[in-house]
Amino acid sequence: MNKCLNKIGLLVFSLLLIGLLAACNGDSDPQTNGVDNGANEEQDQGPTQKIGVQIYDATDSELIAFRRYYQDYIEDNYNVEFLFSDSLDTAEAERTSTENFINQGVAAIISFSDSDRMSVIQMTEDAGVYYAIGAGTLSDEQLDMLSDNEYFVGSIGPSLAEEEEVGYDMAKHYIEQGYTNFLLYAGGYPFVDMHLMRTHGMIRALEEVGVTYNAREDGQIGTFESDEYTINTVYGFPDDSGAFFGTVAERVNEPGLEVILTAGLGVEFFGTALAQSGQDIRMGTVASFEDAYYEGFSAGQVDYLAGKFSSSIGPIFAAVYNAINGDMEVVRNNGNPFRIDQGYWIATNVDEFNEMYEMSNSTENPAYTKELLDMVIKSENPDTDYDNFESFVQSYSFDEITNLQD
Amino acid sequence: MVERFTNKFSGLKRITNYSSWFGLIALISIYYIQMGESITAYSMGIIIEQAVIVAIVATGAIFIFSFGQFDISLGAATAVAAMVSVITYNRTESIFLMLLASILVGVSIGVIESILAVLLNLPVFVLTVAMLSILSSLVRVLLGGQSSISIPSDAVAAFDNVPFKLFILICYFLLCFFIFNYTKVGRESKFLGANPIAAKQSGVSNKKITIIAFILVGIGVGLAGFLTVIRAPMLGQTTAASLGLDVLVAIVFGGMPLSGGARSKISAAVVGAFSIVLLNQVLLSFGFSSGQNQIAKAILFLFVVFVATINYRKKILPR
Amino acid sequence: MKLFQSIKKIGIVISIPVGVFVVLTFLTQIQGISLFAHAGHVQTFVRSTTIISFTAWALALNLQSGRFDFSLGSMAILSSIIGTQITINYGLPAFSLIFVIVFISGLLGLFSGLVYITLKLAPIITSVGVMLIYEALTFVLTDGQGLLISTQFDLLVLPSTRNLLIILLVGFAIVYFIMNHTQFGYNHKALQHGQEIAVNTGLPEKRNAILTYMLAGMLMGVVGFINMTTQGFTGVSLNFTSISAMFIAFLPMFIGGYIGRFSEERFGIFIGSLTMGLVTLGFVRLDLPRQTQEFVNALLLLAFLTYLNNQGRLKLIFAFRKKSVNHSK
Repeated sequence: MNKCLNKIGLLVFSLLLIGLLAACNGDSDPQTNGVDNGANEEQDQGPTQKIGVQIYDATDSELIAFRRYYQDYIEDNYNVEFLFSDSLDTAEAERTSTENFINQGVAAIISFSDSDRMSVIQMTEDAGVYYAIGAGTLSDEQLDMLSDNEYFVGSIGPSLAEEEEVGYDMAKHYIEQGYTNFLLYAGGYPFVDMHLMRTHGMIRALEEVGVTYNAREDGQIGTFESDEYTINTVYGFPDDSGAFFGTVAERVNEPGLEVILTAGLGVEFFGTALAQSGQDIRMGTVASFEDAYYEGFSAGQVDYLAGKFSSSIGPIFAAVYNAINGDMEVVRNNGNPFRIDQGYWIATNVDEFNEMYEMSNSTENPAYTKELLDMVIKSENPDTDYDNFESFVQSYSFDEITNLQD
Repeated sequence: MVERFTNKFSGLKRITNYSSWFGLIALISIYYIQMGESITAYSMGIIIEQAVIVAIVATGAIFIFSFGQFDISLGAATAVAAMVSVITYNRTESIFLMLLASILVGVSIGVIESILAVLLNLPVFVLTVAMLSILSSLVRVLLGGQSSISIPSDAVAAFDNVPFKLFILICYFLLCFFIFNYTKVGRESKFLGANPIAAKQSGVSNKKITIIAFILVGIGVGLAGFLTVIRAPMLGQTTAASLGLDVLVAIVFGGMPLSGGARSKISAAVVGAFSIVLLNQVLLSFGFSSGQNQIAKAILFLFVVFVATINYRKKILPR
Repeated sequence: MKLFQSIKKIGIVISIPVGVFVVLTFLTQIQGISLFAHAGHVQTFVRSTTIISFTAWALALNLQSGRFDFSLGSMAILSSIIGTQITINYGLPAFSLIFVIVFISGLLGLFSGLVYITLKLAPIITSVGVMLIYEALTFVLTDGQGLLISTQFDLLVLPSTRNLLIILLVGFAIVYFIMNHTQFGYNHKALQHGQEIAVNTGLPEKRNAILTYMLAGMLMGVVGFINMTTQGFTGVSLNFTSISAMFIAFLPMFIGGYIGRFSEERFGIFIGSLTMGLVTLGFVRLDLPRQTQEFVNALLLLAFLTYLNNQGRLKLIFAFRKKSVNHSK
């Protein structure tokens, strides 16, 4: 008898548990609405607009910083709610996330994921949802294909040429200072486009000073030859056997090494090996203005950073916000979707870094504040137009933004 | 009096046997409450879209489960089948050959795995761990140094619709349902799971059953590979990587006893696959973060399995 | 005669690592490099051997009792994140890091074991659930970012070759002692070879299972410690990604089971791990791409299993019985 009661109890409990989950939502809804309402008194006429954000990696620190800017700053200042996807590492996952966003009734999707972008753009057009690229770029051919897509807003981000330039500048920075012994980290070369382009930039800078680069047939990073310069390479990502970090430690401990140039993930993968080696080695990297690099600069591990700042995704929001407000024409480039380059902030010493770091990580006073963004949002500034928007995006450097704020 | 209790007891037993169905119904209800009027044909469509591939592979995997084994390499096998079908299409531009290639690869992998298991007399699970590594590196080999391979999405657009996918699922399900419930193969594999020693003594061939089971899963893997390409015609290193464990979770969620045996039911695969997708949708509608989502999923998973097996406790711990 | 047999046993035990060493030395010589060129290579070798030994000991504990534990990798990750944060936040001395992490991973193992004996579900199920929870906790606790300690210099000097050797030796001594000279070890063996009989004679199965999970957890804590201090970074895993950590340990575990016929099993696993440590260093020296590494490892595993099978020994060393015990009866 008792046994039977136990079982009934368990079944009831199971239903209760599921019900409880449903109740959680009921409780939390008014709360979030409350916050929104408080912050948006003047914009409270319409319901909160949902914007889906697709990310390739939920654990990437740059994307986490982006998320903080959208959820802690933009949501408080505009009548919008951001829904973030899980990590999207396949075209299948990207499609699933797009389906789910459409089903949840988003007005637009801002994407930081590129598994099969053109298919997603097709899906959003069919569903009447705006789509914008938050980081990255499209080829001329792709842009042509999208010219009559009413729902494709545009793209802001470093072009591949820009990525190449960043690698070039970084390598040149050290070559000009007379360093001759380098370790190049090529990251996901040749699979990850941005790592590939940055590495090509570094190679170009080295070739300019007489280094011969021998490419490999299988597409992996090749070898260097030079009398004056010594260049070693590492590529790939950590594994479970410890082979990757074994290789990293081996290369970092090569006698005579002066500079590590990384196409990404500098402190993450090389900081420890540097600390353990005890040598005085410089490191330049492309990453973002986040805590890890703050520590890295303070400890003297990094002294050159080309990085994204958290609110660099402010302008793409402004464009999307115009679109969902029905003011698409102010972000139309002669009636076509826009494609605007946006580069990196570059810090070449700890003081520069700290200044940029502070502005990048502030949620009270980020680089792109509401006041700045409102300049290109038509509902706030009826005089704005596309040219206005384009030059606004292109003035991305630290100094230009500081000037705008003043 | 005693009889009444016994009746009552068996009634309850029946209820917990169907607890996965109750789970599914509960999820549907919550989804309905959460989404309200915004449920459209589109919502229904994406639920089917997202469940079909897992449902097909899980349906096949039931055969392996029914004799108490588990194959962790199913996701990687699906990825290999999908890759080969992409390569086949790009060479021949024939959808039919593409489907055929996918199924052939799926079946071949099944045959190789089962023959290795039978010949080497290895525990199936451990063998599939080794196969997982081999198949994942094969995926990289097939990629041939590129980050992805693809076919033009127009090529398969005609098949990229819910009725076609549902049709494939139903055909494969009916095939498996028939074999599992109405043929010697099905009965023997359940017998093998319930009591391997007795089964062996009454002439059930472990080897034969293992090979047939893997061939049936192979067909499912091939169909899933084909559907994977249709759903997302661009494949990369991580394509279908988590499918293997998704299948495990779905099957268990659907009420399949992991030890196999007489209580094995083929419907567990489909019920489980749809439950997982609905659960995902429900959790999404709550707006949880990735981490919270996974915790909620794990707790519900343990809980559902616990309730489903509440009547089958023994003095010793299960292994 | 006895002497001859001892020599034969020793020969079998060392033949595998020595054989692999000879092959790798040959392969590296062809390329004009040597397997061990400087101290960094010794460190890579010792580190891999240590990581693989501890993982394989942990894996074998449960797997040889027919319990598959998916949560091993996630315990290493979660315990190292929590333990390191506690050590840094409370300013504990650097050397205590390993103890804090191992303590926490012991707790995680305890929880794993409690879930198993409470729910009385197949371990493959409970461990999937527990793994998902632990993975998700790494995300929730670090806001998705993982933990980076590349500027905590006093922690980063911990995994020196000397310290790793001490950890390996002490770890081996402890595991050896526990499995061969304690009541827990005797009971564990009895339960492994005849669960039903052991339980009927009154062995405390539940207590033994919980302690086994705890011990496995603590061993994975050491792995978490080494990874955290070597890499200076522990990332967040979601969606089952943590399970890959244990795949590298399968081959050493089988080698261990084989060698265990001629010596002690934990020692056999150590020899197996040493072999894999050499293979890992070989990959580093030969600069093989990752997919080749994985492929080679998988083939080695298959080849070794085939060899064992031909020797007719697989069934003897591996108690992965058909599931005669299940819920359905």
